[in-house]
Amino acid sequence: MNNSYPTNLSPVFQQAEDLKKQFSSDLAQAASDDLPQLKIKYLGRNGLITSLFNELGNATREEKPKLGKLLNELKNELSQTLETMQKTKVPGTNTASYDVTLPGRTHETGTLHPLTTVLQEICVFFENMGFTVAEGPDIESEYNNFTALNILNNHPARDMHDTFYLDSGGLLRTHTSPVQIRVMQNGKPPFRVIAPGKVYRCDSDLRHSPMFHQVEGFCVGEGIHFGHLKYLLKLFAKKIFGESVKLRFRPSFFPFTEPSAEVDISCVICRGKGCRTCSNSGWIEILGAGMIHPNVLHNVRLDPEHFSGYAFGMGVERIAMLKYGIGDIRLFFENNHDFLVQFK
Amino acid sequence: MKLTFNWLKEHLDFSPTLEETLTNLTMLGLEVEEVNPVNPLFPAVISARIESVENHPGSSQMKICSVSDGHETLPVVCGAMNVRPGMIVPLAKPSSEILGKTIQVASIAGINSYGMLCSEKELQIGFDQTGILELEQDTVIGKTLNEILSLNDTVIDLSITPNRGDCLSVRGIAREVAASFSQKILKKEPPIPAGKKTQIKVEIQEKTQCPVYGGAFLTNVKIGTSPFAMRYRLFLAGIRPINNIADITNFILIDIGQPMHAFDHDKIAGKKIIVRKARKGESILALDGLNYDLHDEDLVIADEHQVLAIAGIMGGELSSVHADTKNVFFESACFDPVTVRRTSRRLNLNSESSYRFERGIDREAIPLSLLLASNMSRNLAGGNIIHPRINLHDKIFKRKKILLRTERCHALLGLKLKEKEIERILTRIDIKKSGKHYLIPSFRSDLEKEIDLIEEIARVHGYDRIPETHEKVEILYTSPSPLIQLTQTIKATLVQAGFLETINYSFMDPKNNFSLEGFIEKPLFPEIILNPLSPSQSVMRHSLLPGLVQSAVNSRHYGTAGIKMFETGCVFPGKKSKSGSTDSPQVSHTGLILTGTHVPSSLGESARKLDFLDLKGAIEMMFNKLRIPVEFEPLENHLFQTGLKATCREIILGMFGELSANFIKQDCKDTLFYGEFSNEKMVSCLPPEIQYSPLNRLPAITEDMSFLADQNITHQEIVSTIRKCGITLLEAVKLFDIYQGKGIPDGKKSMAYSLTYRDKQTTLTMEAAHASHEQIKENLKKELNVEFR
Repeated sequence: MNNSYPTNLSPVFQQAEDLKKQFSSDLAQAASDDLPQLKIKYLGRNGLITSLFNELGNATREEKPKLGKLLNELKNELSQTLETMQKTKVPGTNTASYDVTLPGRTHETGTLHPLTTVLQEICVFFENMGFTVAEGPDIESEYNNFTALNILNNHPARDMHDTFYLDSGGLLRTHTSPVQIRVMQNGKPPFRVIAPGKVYRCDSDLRHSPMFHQVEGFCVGEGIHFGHLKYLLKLFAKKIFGESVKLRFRPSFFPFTEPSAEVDISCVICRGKGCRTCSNSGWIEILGAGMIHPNVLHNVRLDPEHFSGYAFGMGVERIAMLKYGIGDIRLFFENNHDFLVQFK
Repeated sequence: MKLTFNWLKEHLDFSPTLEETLTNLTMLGLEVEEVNPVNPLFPAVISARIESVENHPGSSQMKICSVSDGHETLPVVCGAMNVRPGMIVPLAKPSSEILGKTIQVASIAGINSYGMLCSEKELQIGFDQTGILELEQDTVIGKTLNEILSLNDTVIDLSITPNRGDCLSVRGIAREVAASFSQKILKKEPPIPAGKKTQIKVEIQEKTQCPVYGGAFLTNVKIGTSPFAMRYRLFLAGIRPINNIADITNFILIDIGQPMHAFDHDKIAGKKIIVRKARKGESILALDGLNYDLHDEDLVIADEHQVLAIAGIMGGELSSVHADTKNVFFESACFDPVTVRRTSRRLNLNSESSYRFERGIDREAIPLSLLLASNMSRNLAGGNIIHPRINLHDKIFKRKKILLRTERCHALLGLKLKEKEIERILTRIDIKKSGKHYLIPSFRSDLEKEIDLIEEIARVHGYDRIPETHEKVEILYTSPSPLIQLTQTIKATLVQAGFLETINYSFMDPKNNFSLEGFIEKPLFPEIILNPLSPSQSVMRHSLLPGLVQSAVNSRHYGTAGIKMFETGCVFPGKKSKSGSTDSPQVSHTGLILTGTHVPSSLGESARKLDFLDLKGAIEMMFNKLRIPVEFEPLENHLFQTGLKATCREIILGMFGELSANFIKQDCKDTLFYGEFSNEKMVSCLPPEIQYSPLNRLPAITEDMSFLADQNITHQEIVSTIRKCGITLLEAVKLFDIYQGKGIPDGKKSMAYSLTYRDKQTTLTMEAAHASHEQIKENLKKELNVEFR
């Protein structure tokens, strides 16, 4: 045995050292159920440590403080080790008897469609801001989809919508804006509504799908102005694209809003430096917005001199494509298993 | 709208940088789609003179040109037919690159050729590929093409919103650029030529649809190709050059936005232009080579005999300017946007001209357009100008006046601008104050109301300068509809059960005309799309089945072992009668599909086929989560091999089962398990809020039983037989084992149940529980003839 203490010291020093080794070997073999026993064996009233403390009386004056310190340290060390072991050991098992690196027992869960996830994130934000979710039908009337929204027949603005017409005389809504009309016809201001849903346009390529999703939001009341719209959409962009995102409002034209704006965010890929995604402009268009046109308010029998409101609409696919870096819109509707499981 | 930066700068007397110009345009609402710098570099393409042309001895398709660059004269073999001695041409010397190919000294049919003579198209500076580009006769030879032609420019493609017809011209865009720098555009003031008045008489029969009609007359013009500079401009703007006269009208169209048409004067019968409605049966062979039948709503330009042009849309072939035209009549007019649009849409005929008339043109630019056309023609086609004459129905153009209330502007923008500031902002875009009103310039036909002016103020002042503020609005909380809440619960539950959510198209192939009798009926009058993208997407789906089957089968083809998918979405039951209302109903459904192999997710599990019970388990999970007390009943349906329907209070909520093999015509070897449910019907069966029932702390006793039963006896029969005994102590019945095979006689199965007993009043004794258990066993023996083991 390698004696680490000078021989002129009391043997109790050596005993303390041996005790420590014995404890380590006992601990290695112990299952968690054995830990209480171990505690009694070493730290109990008649335990091994206690008996060493009894030896303190036999020590010399010079050794006493040293030995006392050593024993106290040993006692603390053992009790601490036991305490941690008690917390971590799995009951009924021995540390050495199973491979903790094996995969856990589980069952495979599914996943929401990425569009649903993004849609829910958008809706939750606006619900937290006091908006109510409303839905409208996919098959709409010419009046709700166009006329009531100030998109008059024989106006070139109609060309902005490639519409699917039905033999029944209806059409597949080209945007979620008709929900504005439905809600405002059947209620009283103030309105704070968010309307998600499917919309349709006859177009199909990498960036266009004949069916896609939009979220429409609007707020109508007394004294609503453009500054309010800017405030809300800025918060929204920060929520969806992160705190550091910048927002830009550009003038545009929609027949149902005036003033109208297209809203860009600083490119999420290059952070505004310019890249392929943003066609080197540093900006990416994410939504259209504006103050509801007085003609639209008039069409739902609200006095535009008394009430005003803002409205905004965004393409869910577009936001999802930016968020997840998806290049082909058609992937969303192909429902390939390997595509969908990536969004778990 | 495509234009070039050099062209734009010609309208400005200040020199903005490209970058600031693009930024300002963007922030004014003129979206920059694309910016393409054009700087063709042809270091080894030089001007050269063809000294002589000989026939190629080896090929009748080729010529041998002796070409001089001022230093040496070398032979160049050329296939173009327009080469002639004395012609100045671009010569690509050996080692230069043309269209990605390096030119080399090569033997062509036995003759060494030292380079290549190039067409516009080969140099990518024009459309023409019919012959070698002919340079001006006074061009110095031996110079590089870049020195001779000013080719460097930037093409800007802008997306112009439909309200801004005034920005469909270089001048219109220049106006916006100038406004953004608080500057003005250069005024074009071409000299008014002296001369006689035109011989042509103009008769306008439809004055509201053609308020202004002007014309200019030129004699002795020489029709030919426009000079390169003109052709190059048009090329960069995406317009194909035709001849000098047609090019002039196209140039003016892009330059100041006024659509014009050039007639061959000598083809106008009776020297008379009549603006009238087309007559029934009239038709016209248009410039695009197609014949159009006209309608009595269409506005046309005619002479005494026939229709010469479809007003504002396209001219006719017969009266157009040809190579031998001597005298030209230019038309510059204003046609009603709606009339032009209606005809253009009906004939499915769009042109640069109709595009501008639909969006409104600037009447006050008509005289200018005629002056420009006359002066340019004299320069480019050598014509004698007969004084341009404007036939004005209302000679005085009345400008619109709009009242603007400062406080209204504040209220809508949330921006407090002083009246003076507003006036200054609007003056920048040529809207001047006149009393309390503002006068609208003739090119802004889109400005009609106060709100339009408010938008202009915001636009010119800058959207970014409007302060962001939080609104103070009463919040009325309304919870989402039960249907929205239900579909969210279903989605969450099915995801937990291992299903992937899919979203399929709402349209489908009309061949999918199946029914699920009692639940989904084949629509008598389905919602048919009149203009589908393809026949396989031409009718609105009445079930989620086709889409889900497609998605599952596709994923199986890609090699996925096990598929568990669902969709919640709308289906369209169709109309009850042929003349169904436009407000056609749509209902919300949930569909589930499952096929292939169950892939073990934990150690110790083994792979197995997904089956009916996997589907049923997910469906039970869904109904449990919704707390809908659902009952399953056997189902007879041609769609399902075996299936069940789910009912609640006699309402059929949906159906599920193994799809019958002959229904699945798709290339799919697997058995498909499918279920579809009505979300609205599920909403109608939702139970009230959970009510707590007091905890029972009295102990329960569980006893097991195990028996052999006839294999035809169902679990449900056993449970109901157990329940029928009416034992009040019996709390729960649970099947925990079922086995068939080794050690079990044929036609039998071994089943094991665990029954829980509890007395709600007092502690249950072993004896009482046992007695009940025995009574149940007796009853099972008697009723179902099972053998206890």
